[in-house]
Amino acid sequence: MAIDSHTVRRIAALARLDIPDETVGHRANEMATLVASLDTLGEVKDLDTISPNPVPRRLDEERAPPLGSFPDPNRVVDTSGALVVPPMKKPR
Amino acid sequence: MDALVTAGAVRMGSRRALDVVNGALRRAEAMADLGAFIHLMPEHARKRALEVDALVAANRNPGRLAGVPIAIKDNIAHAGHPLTAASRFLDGNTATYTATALRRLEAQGAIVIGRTNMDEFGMGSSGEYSSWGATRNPANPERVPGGSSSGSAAAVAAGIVPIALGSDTGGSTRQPASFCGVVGLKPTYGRISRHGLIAFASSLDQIGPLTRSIRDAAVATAVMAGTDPLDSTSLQAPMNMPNIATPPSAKGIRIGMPRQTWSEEMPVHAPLTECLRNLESRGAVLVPLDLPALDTALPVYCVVSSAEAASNLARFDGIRIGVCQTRDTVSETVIASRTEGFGPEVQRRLLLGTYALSEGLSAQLYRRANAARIALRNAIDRAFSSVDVIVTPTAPCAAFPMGSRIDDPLTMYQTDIFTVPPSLTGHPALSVPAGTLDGMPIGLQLIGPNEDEASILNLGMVITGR
Repeated sequence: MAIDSHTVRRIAALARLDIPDETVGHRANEMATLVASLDTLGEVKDLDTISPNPVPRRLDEERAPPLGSFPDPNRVVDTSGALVVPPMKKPR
Repeated sequence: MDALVTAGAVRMGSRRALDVVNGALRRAEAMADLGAFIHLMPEHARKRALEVDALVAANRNPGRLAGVPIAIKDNIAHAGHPLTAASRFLDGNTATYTATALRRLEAQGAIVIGRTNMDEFGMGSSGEYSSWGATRNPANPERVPGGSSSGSAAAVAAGIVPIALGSDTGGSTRQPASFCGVVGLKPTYGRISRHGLIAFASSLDQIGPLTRSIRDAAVATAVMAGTDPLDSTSLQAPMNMPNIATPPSAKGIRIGMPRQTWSEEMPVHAPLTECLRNLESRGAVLVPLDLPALDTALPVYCVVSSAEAASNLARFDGIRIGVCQTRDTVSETVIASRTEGFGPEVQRRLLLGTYALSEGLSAQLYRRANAARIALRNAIDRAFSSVDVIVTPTAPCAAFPMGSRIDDPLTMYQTDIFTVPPSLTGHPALSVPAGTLDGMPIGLQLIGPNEDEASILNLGMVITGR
């Protein structure tokens, strides 16, 4: 995709940023240069056999303690260990 | 003076914590021109010092780091104190809780004397992107200290504090350590809890210490390390400590040198190679490596880190968090607040990250980058079947002149070309001072097997002698 002023404005809107008119052209050139530097990603081979897993796997298999084990003096549980939501008072 | 020596003196009663802290505060004030600190906390520091001295007087355990003055990067939460990530967007923001890593240091008697300057939200490699002014390199004030943990590196290099906390996403602890001539450690991903660290890229961020000695880095990391129920990515397995009491030996250590990172055209090649030849003369074995996957690391990092940053910084809307620029509608208020609040480098990365995640491009860029990341991790893990430690220059250059790269983002990003691979793969990595280039410090990066900080810390002690 070519990066022009229209693209910059569209991406800026998604990022919830306002790019002034006088700098849109500069931003477009800058982004085009940065994106061009990412072209080497297209040359990477043999990626189809690797399933994307963005977070590096830890050697240990244990997971963090379940939420229910967090110390919380205000927590109320029923006999199954589930959190009990306090009943709401009916509005007058 | 090293942290362990200071703590030993305070524990023995031969030095008062209050005197140690007052000394650090005086040095910080005397060197204010460095721009290392955003916020000094003399009242808090002296109060804590008196508490430590009272424990010593009562023959109670004041902690392993009793009375040691420390500094923390301005993206690490400390309850009741400012937390701005060096951004005007968070001007006036106060932390409501304390980061787990900092709580553990304070529990061992360490005393925070101030919050250090940084590149805004951790995005930068020079220390010039702070909303509160640039930091300068203590070795030469006309040069950058590196980034993004610029103030922490400068504070340690200038001798203000023996330990400062940084955060490392793509090299932000190691690169300024190299530029300032101090030790900087990025532990294994998950070794230190990220609870209380303002998120930049959550799959990459790690808090790490900057120190003047390997021993101090080892003890500080061990104190901070450990599983944390408030961070589900924190490691369960404990950290193996290096042997800091007995000087280690280089004999038999297999040191891998990826040819992709040792070009003779690099200015740092000659002085760092001399350091490696010295290790070889002391019994280490240098092993050439070929890791072509390293060539993709910087583009992968640019995509992954900016995409995750775009997601993490979406919470800053000027309504729930941040300085509000009120307009007629909610949408206009959010846009104005973010545009006014974020600096140019943050906006640049948000645009790149949003672009990488946008419809029609996410498969081409983001998913491809993550797959290449796994391939890089597998390649480095395979390399560790032949070597014990992998070494690269920490940065391809020494500290550059202030203002020389601020308008050239691509060249600025190239400064991190060697630090981003272990950030992407999660392996522990350490920068140690290993020589000079044109009078400026340069660092050698040691990369260790996953969850094995001890190997790189031991080799670091062989190189530095401390």
